[in-house]
Amino acid sequence: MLRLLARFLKLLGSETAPGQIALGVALALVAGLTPLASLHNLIVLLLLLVLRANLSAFLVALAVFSGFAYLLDPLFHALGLRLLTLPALEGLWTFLYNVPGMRLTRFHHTIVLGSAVVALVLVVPVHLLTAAGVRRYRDVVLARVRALRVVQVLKASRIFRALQAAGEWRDVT
Amino acid sequence: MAGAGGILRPKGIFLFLAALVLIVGAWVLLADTLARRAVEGIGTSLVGARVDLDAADVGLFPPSLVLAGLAVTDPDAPMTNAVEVGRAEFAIEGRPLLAGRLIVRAARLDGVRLGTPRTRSGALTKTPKPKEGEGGFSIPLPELSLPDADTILKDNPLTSVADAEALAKDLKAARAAWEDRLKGLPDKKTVDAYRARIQELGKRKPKGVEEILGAAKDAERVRRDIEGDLKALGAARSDLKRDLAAYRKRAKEVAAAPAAEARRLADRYAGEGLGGVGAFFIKPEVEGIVLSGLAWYRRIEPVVARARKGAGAATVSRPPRGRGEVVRFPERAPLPSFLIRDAAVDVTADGGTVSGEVKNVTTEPEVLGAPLTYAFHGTGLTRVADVKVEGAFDRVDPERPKDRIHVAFAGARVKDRVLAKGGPVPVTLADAAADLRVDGTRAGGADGTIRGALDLGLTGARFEVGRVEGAVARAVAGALEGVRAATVHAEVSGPPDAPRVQVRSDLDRVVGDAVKAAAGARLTALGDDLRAKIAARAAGPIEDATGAVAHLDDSVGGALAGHADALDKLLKDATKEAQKGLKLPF
Repeated sequence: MLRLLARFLKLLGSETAPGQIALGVALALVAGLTPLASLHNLIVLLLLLVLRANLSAFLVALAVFSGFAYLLDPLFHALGLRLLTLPALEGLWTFLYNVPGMRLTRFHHTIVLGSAVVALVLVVPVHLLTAAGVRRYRDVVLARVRALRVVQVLKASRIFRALQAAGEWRDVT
Repeated sequence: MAGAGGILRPKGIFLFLAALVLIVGAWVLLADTLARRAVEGIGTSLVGARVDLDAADVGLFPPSLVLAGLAVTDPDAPMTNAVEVGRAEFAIEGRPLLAGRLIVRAARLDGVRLGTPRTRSGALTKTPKPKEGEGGFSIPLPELSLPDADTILKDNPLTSVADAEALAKDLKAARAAWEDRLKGLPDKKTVDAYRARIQELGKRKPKGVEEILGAAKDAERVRRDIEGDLKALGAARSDLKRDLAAYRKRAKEVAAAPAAEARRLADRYAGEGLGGVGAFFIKPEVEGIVLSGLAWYRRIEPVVARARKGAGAATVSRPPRGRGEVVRFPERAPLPSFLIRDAAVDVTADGGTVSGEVKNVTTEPEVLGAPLTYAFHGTGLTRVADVKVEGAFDRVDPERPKDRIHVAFAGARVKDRVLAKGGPVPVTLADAAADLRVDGTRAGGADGTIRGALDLGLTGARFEVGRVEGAVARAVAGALEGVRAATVHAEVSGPPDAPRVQVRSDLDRVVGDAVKAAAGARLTALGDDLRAKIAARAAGPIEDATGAVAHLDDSVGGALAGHADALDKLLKDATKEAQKGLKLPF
């Protein structure tokens, strides 16, 4: 987990496009908040692989959102139950329920529906905010950290260079 | 499409396909194992003992499932398989799978065997093995349980005494009622008044036609009044006569009651103590058949009766595992989650095969709208000439189960069946041909009671009795050894988990008569003792009752008769006076 976090911090400081990182996080939001074994996560997997989404960002964010999902399950259940029992939507649900194959999506499960709705509502804002956040991090936070005297001393040290070389060597292998 | 730095990653589609192939490949590789574990896990939780499966083979095109070497442990005997299935094939309908429904179009179960031994225990938890009694079960003999007269009288309120007391009480009330009635009937004062009126008529000296006619008219009025009162007295006397006849009849019955009651009690205790002995030997066997059948019924029932609410509206049900809830909506063509439409089953038993079919196996019969039915038939088995089992679990209306079963065994050979291992009369049914018929139903609400009848006929029977001691035991042994045919009838009723089993057999008569003959002297003494003690207790009330009848007759009857006689005499006088007044002077 620590290694994953380190890779994520490294990723934030890398040349990777903020949009790719944001896309990975947004897809992780959907996969993480909703039950992982759901059918719609195959679409998430397809998008993750076909679009230039960052896999490291996806994996880190997936772990984070899965943790949130565990805490938010009661909320998802309440929302899903409310939607599934809303008289105005009964016709829609009944129609979908009778479409062959639709039940395999488990849309009629309260947590699946509740979490999917929350994820879909949040996916665009999260994407935009993440992209903006990465840019802000690189422009402000990372620039300030790099400008710190301590960091410059450390980076100039033999130990740092040795560690960096070892890290690069490990990346190559 | 963007270039190398664009948003699309063309190679990703191949990665996705590779991932899909991996997922499907893993599923195909693991499907058999997953199916095997699912069958074992679900089966074990349903049965309450280990369910083992050698192998499962999941087919995709067309969807199918083949199970090999299925062994279901008998929860009551963990070293025995209740059912063992050599091979089970299920042809699954593909389209309902898309709706999450497992519908088996046809199933075939071959090599089904019952009661096979296991190499290792199938118990889920270690339970202490029930200790088998050293001497086994035994049948108590009546000579040890015949009570004395005082005990019988203590346990039984005497109806003869109560009847006599009730008669005396009724007579007291009747006497009071009659005394009230007498007040409204002609009495001595009435008689005196009539006498005065007649004397006054006699003193008259009418002159002329008009006075003569007037005197005659008065005399006629007196005569009619007396006749009216005589009529009322006659009706009362008739009523009294009827009442007295009824009370005398009751008094006669009450007087004879103590002897009859003594005889009845003696016979009853003789019946309880000495009769029914024949059924004692058969009852444990019959109860064993009934309770074993009901144990399986209770085990199967939760599987077939796991009903959900009607599919007419959206319903919410909590899934067995995981969080959240599944909401179900009305379906155009409702189907249960699980259904085996038709299963052909071949049961290998007793050197032959019992073939049959089971239809509509489902956990949601109310959705299917048809009950689970089963019918099996076997012939030419080693120990049974013909066997039929058929019935239904009808839970189409979950609130009103209508289950039924019919079992018929014809020409079953029974050999060396121990009926009583120890005790005063150790009995073994060494040889017999048995015909067994069981009919059972369950009706009523969800907690409805069961009703059933079991008829067992034994022919060519040979009972063997071990060493016995005592006159009664010897009588029982002799009677049993002479029995060649017997019938047993059992009635079962009550809740399935605590049924009441009543067993009757003609062995009762055969063995009971022998025992009664052996215990005859004791029965005669008991009867005499009872008769004397009951007569002593009933003597007082009976005397009171018979005395009250005589008193009613004397007092009320005497008064009515006296007044009637007096009025009768006066009527004659009044008639004379009337005739005297009508005598014409020419």
